[in-house]
Amino acid sequence: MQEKILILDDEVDMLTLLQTIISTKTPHDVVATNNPLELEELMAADAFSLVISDLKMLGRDGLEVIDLVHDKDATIPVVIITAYGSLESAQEVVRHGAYDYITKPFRKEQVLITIERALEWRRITLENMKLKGH
Amino acid sequence: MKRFYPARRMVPLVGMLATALLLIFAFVLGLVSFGKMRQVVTEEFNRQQLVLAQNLAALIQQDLEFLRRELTVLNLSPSVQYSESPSLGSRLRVTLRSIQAGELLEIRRVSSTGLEAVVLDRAGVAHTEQGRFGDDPYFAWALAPRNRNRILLDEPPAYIQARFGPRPLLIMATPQYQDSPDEAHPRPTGRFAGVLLFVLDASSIASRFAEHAKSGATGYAWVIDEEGTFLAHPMPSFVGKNAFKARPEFNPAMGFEGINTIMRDRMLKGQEGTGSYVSGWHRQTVGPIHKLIGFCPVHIDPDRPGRLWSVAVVAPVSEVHGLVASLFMRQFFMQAAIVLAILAGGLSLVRLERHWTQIKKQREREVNLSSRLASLGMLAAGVAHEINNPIAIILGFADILLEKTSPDTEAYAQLKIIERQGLACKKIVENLGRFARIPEQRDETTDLNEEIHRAVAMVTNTLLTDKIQCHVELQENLPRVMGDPQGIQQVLLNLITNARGAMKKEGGVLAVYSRREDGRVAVAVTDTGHGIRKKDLGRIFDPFFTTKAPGEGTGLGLSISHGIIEKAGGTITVESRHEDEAGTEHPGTTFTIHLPIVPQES
Repeated sequence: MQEKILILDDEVDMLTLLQTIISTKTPHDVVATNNPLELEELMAADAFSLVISDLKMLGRDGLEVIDLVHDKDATIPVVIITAYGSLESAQEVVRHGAYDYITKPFRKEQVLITIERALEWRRITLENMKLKGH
Repeated sequence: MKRFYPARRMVPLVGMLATALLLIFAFVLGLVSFGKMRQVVTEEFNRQQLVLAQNLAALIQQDLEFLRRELTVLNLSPSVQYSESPSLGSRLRVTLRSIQAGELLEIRRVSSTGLEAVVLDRAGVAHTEQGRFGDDPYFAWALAPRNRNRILLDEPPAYIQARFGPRPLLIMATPQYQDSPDEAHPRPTGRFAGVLLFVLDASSIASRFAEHAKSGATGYAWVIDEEGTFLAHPMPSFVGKNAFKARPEFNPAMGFEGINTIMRDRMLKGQEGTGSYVSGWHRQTVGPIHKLIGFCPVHIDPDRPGRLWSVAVVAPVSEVHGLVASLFMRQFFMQAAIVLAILAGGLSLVRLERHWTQIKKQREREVNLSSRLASLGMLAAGVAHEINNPIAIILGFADILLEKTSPDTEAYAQLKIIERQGLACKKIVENLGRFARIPEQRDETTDLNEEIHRAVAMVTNTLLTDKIQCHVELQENLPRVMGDPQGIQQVLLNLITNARGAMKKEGGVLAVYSRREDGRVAVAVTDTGHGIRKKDLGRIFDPFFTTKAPGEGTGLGLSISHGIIEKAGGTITVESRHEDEAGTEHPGTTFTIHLPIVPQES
């Protein structure tokens, strides 16, 4: 099933990499930007099922991204990409409401599994809500 | 960097100098006190010599008094007054016998005419002498009525002196009056009957007591008459000679101004006192000798106070000084020993202080090193963090390209090289990151349940990937425990990582429990993995002990965990059943941590 994924990273090459991995290995649609300040605009324009964001970016950090995404739609999982070795920040993002984190450098399998799990989680959550709602 | 502390270098030097000065000062003080002590002892010694001289003078005076009494008693005898032969001779002999041999040389009774004398010599033989005795000075004195019952002390006339040689003589004379009654003269006539004389050996009287006197070990006494003639002296050849002449004769090399002045100006003037002088000899020793003297006059004639002898007691100063010196040396050695002991103590203190200073410096260096390492670590952490991004991109694209490339092409092999080198970079960065992780002590107490939640949250996704079910069962409202949260977190993650490793192959169940237990909080981390072999159980907490393949584990995780828990005052124990061991139905491992509860603040 095709879903829309938004990727935020101020490093263009990293964006390209993630975009390449996702578009070659999954059927999902990717929107990518290296300007995290475009987040609101992009989210207003499109309905995303998943947001992947770098933790430390110029202009806006990952924790803010989590808040902004969840303000708009709490069912959208946010996956944070963080550098290896900063266990504390990884903990912090999870406590902050991130669905999961990926440490750099990563293997593409890791990225793919995380994405699938996050999307799966969202589907279940939405179904649960639908069941409860009716 | 090498640093010099010139001021510090000076400290021991200055200390040594000060100590040396102190020692010199103490020595000088000692010398001063030695001098003072010597002076005091010398004065005291000389005072004792004076007392001895006074005693000798008193003895001589008593002796002369005794002789005077004998003469008086003899003068009362009628046989002497009336010159009755033969009773006169026997009466004279009685007196002769009662007087010390040597002192009394003869007794003379000169008749009232002055032309005849009865003489009893020392052997007790009496004879009569004819002569012009009336011309003798004593006779004229005796004729004077006012001298009745008085006694004259005088030089003997020349004819008597000639009889006894050059030795110093003395006559004791008293006028005779017939005033005692007896059978033949029931009524005394009261007429002048002549003169009764004792011829005395002055040196014998003086020597009788002086020769036994001893001052100190070698000091002695001597006596001079009013002319300065030796009446008593330990050197027999001196007796009868004039002291002013005899001394230079004996040792011409010496000047005797000191003693001559004392004799002339003090002794012969009837003074008593003490002094010191340089003598030319002492007993058998010839040469300049410093001597101490105590002297006292002997008033030999109560009727004429001007007539006197003088007794001197002398001893070499060296005798006193030797005694004082030996005393002082003992004292000085004691002082020196004390000073040296203090010095030794001080030196060892200084050495100890230096030792401490070195240890302190060493510590400072260590602290410097660790803070340098810490900042280096922070730098490394920053670098590691930054470098992760490009590595991730390089490796990611290498991966993507590898998938697109046929494995038997040259491009594939070269992409592999890029991937391998990228992985090498990743390894280096990982190591850097590990080095940079500096444990920071922030808190001392921990909410265990919260830390468990965090640790589990962090690994949940990874566990899912490994087909491991996670079961967490925590007792609510647990009290806070001792230990810093980061450390406890690390321990929990270590245990979970180990559990995960043990269940990697086939999956399993990881369970974490917490509960209150005997005043402590217990946490158990259980897995259904392959377990630990019995032979390894005793060593799992040892550093560098690992059962993992080389490169996969450092063997430090459990030993670090053990250290963290112990530091917090807790314990960590393990139970395990290994799958390969006989009788094992449910293999697996359980680590149990017990941590002390934070005491309630009152």
